Amino acid sequence: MNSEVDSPLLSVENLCKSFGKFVANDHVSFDIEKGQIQCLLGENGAGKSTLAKCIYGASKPDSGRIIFKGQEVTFSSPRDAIRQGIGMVHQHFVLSEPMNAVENIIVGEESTGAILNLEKETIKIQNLCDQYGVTFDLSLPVSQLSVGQQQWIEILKALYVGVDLLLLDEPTAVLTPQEVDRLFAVISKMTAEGISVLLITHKLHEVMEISKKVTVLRRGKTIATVETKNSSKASLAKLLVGKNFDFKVNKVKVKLSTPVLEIENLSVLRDNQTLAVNQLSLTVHGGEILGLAGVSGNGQSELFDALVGVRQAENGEIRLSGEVINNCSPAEISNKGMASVPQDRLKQGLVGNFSVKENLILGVHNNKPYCSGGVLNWKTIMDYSQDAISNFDIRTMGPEQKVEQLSGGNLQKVILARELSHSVKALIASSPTRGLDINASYYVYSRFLELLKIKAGILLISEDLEELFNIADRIAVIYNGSILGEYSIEDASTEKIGLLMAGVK
Amino acid sequence: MAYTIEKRKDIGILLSSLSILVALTVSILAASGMIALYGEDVGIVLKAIFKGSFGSMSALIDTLIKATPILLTGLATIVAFRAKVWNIGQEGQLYAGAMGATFVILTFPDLNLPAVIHIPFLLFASMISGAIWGGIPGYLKARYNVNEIIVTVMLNYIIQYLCTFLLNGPWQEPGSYYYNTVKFPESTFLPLLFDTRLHLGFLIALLTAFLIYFLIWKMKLGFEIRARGDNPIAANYKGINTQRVTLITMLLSGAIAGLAGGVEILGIHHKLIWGFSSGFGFTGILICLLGRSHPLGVVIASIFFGALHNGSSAMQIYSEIPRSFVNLIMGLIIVMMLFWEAVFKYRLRRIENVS
Amino acid sequence: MLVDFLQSGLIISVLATAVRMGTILLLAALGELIVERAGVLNLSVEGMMLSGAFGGFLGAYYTNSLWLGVLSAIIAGLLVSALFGLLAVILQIDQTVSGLTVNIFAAGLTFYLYRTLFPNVGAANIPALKPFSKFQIPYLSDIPIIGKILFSQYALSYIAFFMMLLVAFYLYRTKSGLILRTLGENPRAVDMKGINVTRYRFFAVLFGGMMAGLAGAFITLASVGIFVADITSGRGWLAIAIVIFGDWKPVKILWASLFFGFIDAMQMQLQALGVQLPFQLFLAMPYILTTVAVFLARKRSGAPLALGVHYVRE
Repeated sequence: MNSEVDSPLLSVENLCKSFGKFVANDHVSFDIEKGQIQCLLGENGAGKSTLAKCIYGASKPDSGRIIFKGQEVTFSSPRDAIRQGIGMVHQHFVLSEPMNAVENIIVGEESTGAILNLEKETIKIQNLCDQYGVTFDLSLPVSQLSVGQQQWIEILKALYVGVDLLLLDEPTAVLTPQEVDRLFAVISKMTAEGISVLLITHKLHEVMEISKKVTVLRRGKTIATVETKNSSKASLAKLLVGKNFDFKVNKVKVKLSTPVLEIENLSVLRDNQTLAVNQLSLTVHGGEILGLAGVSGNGQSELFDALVGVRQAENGEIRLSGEVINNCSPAEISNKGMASVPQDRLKQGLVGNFSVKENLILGVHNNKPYCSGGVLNWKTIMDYSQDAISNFDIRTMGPEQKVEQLSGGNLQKVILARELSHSVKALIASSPTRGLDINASYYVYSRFLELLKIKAGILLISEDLEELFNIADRIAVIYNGSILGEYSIEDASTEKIGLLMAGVK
Repeated sequence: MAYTIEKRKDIGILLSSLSILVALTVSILAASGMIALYGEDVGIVLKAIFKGSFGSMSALIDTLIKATPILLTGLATIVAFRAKVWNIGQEGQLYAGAMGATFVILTFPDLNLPAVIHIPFLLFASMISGAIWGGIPGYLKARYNVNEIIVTVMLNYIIQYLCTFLLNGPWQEPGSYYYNTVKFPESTFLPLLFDTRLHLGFLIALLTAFLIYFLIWKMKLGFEIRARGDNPIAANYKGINTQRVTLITMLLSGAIAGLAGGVEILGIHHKLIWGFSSGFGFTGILICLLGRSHPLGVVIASIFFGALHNGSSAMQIYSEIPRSFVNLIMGLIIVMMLFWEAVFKYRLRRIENVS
Repeated sequence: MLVDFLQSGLIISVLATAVRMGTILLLAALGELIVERAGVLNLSVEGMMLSGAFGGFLGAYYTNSLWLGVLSAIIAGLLVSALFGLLAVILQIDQTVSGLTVNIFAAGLTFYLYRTLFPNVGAANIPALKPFSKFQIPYLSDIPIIGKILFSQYALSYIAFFMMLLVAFYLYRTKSGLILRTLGENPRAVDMKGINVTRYRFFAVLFGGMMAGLAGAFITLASVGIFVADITSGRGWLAIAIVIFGDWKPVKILWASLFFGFIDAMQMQLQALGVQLPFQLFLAMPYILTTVAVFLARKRSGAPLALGVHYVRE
């Protein structure tokens, strides 16, 4: 064991990766030592996932080098990488639910032989579990296991093959505190066995708790790689979010009116029956934009679903201008004045195969003047569409064009045109400028500001802090399904919000 | 220089039409090849088909008569398939419709209504019957998410057995060895058009085609049907009750298929007779796919099919080729259409080598 | 009445017939099981069975060898399934539309070829061949009652039972079977292990075709010896329903197949017994039961999670 000349286990040198014009990784460089826990810290869009993909073989960097165990490597696939010793545990597990742990781990592995010896494999995996102090019933189907246990199966996949470096992508996003402790205990054992762990995270307390070094990424660049013991949450937060933003949007303070949207102790379940939104309370007033910051996965989409009526609220109350809308249908809620801009435009907000004009009436197609006696009034709809196209500057060949052919910015304009053309009491927007260029983004903001003038209120769910600082009046932070804290825009700073987003109260 | 195959975002009208053209061309070539392999003269056969289908007024009438029931079942299929509700039960719903009209006639033999009231009433009865037979799988799907394909196929068999039972039992014409009812009273006969054998059913079918067009593209329900078919998730988010749409779709689809059954027995046979449908229901599915789930396409395809069917009788006079050749060609055309449309969705793209 | 029935030895005959009818369904269902376990919904089973029935008949008729007929039946099923696989798995056309289309096409092709090769067929001169006779397993077939039911069947029934064991073993005890099952639940998991999803699914489809073809051969070549249009009378659809009703598990599918076979057999016998119910009711029994079965099975948890969904690598 050559421990005198301690060459790093992994060296990333000037790695660059772009997607079209978008530079995801810009000359990223850092090292990981053997048998060490290192964190890769960054916000959404910082380039962590792209970097991770290059390291574990899912992507080829455009330029730069990856040196692993002293040799330059290029991986042709994740399979290739794992055989050479680098494995990845994803945020979203890739498991077969009805099958048990053993089957999930050994599927497709050459070492098993054509006829499976499940008993032998079970023993082998059981030994691995014992080695790391993890116990659970390996014969249970995955669907009956807790999220923490499922994650352990993903880790086992890499350990079964034998890796020297394990990447973990936001592993604690869906774990309970106890499960987090267990995970960290396992990780510590791994490093004791000589396996290095690269933990990708946005949570500062985790970084402080478990890592030896931390590499901070921001907007595709490596900002710094520092020893954890020499850092503090504050210093890391600063590296994480950078300096305060310059306000670019001219925002005139509008006098607030009565609450338009009140959320009280709301609880919402995820599809897998775990709690996504946990006793959440928020109030949006007329004339204000309430920004909701937070890293994705902390309950935002389930909150959105509950507000628009697509998901049941388990507990709590939602009131729109004083009226309880908890168990109303999406159509009713929309008709009462709730406008919504969903996160996934083509999946949740638009019918791709429909034309622009058809999408412009989607959701209001039941109402006069677009429809009377069950018959759609296409002339009126056409007029309205043409108005909308010019009012909202939708770049399209015409109202008849199929919406799936439009660019992202124009898709969003169609949604905005539809949602804002009818009386709005409250608007919920989820990542509204994701994937849009500057001009399109500013167009969206200008429309939002106009809404405020008519005393509507906006709940802006976004991972983009710059955006929130630009136009929000208040910023609340959602963490693990509830509001961790809230600041008015005058009191807020990127450091404060960054800390809340990272789970630090 | 390396190439990669990638999928297009959208196929566009131009390429879509081109793919149909290629599909038809390949099919015709294949058909000609098969004719030649048979030892027949391609030219003679094709001429015979044409003569038998459009060559005379009589032939044309026959073509339209043959097109009528499958036009209706094709329209019934459009309603369902546009919502991506897979109704394969048109055959059974057609039987239900015929049986429904028969039931009314046999139960109230002395109605003595003028035809102008009697006939719409009977057609309405066949629509209701078809709707019920379509509503059963529709309800099971909407409420319980039971696979509608299997249920509709099963119901096809069940109702045909029921029909056989009735025609061999309580509904059988007294003294007859055959599976048929007594002849219906004259007031139930669909009037003939222009002094020809072409009955009102053809116009009813055309009218229905127009109504379906109006429904799907001009009415709110049609809008919701299309939305459910294209993106049920977004439809849900935007307030469309997709389960309700599922049920209504099956009711409507069943009703139109039922109408086809009613029209066929009131227009041609004037009694319920075993075997009155030579697979009209299934042909309707074929027609819908060929016609790209559009009423105009279905009208054209059904006339085309009626023509081929008629022409195949003539073809039999001039050649040894069996009549089922026509079915095969229709099947081949759809396979080709699916195939070429999918192929045209991909394209080659050059990629520069990354050093 | 019923006592007569039980005492008349008819019950043995019914059960024996049940095994025969059931194993036909079993063969097709096992094939479809493999296909659906891989995540592909193949609705053209009826067409594949019909092709097999005809191909088998054709092969046996021209070669005078029943087993060569069986081989041609398998090839016929294989070819039809290859067309389906091309459309649904390789070109990723909607699986439902692909299956229905191939069904229609296969039926059309089969009937056309039949009419072409056997023109002018009437009830009097229908082409027929000497079908398989039952194969009595030595010693075992002498066991009273059970011997007649289980061990005096056609060879194809024994093959069906054997295939059931083979399929069960394959699915649960082999590496390839594990991959197949994972394909149906989460194809991404298989893709990440570097295994070609498309290729695996295509081969699964081909297997389904061969089994359906074999089932078709059973219909024409055992006990009937002729081919007529619609000789399969919806059995392909029953096979699909059996997979659902059997919760996608080989042993349950075996029981479901035998049960359906029993209903089929009962229907034939009850007619012969002059039971005072319309015989059409018995003919309709399998289909009524299937409808009830899929309704009862609506909450079945065994459906492969990725069934019917095209896999696209993100």
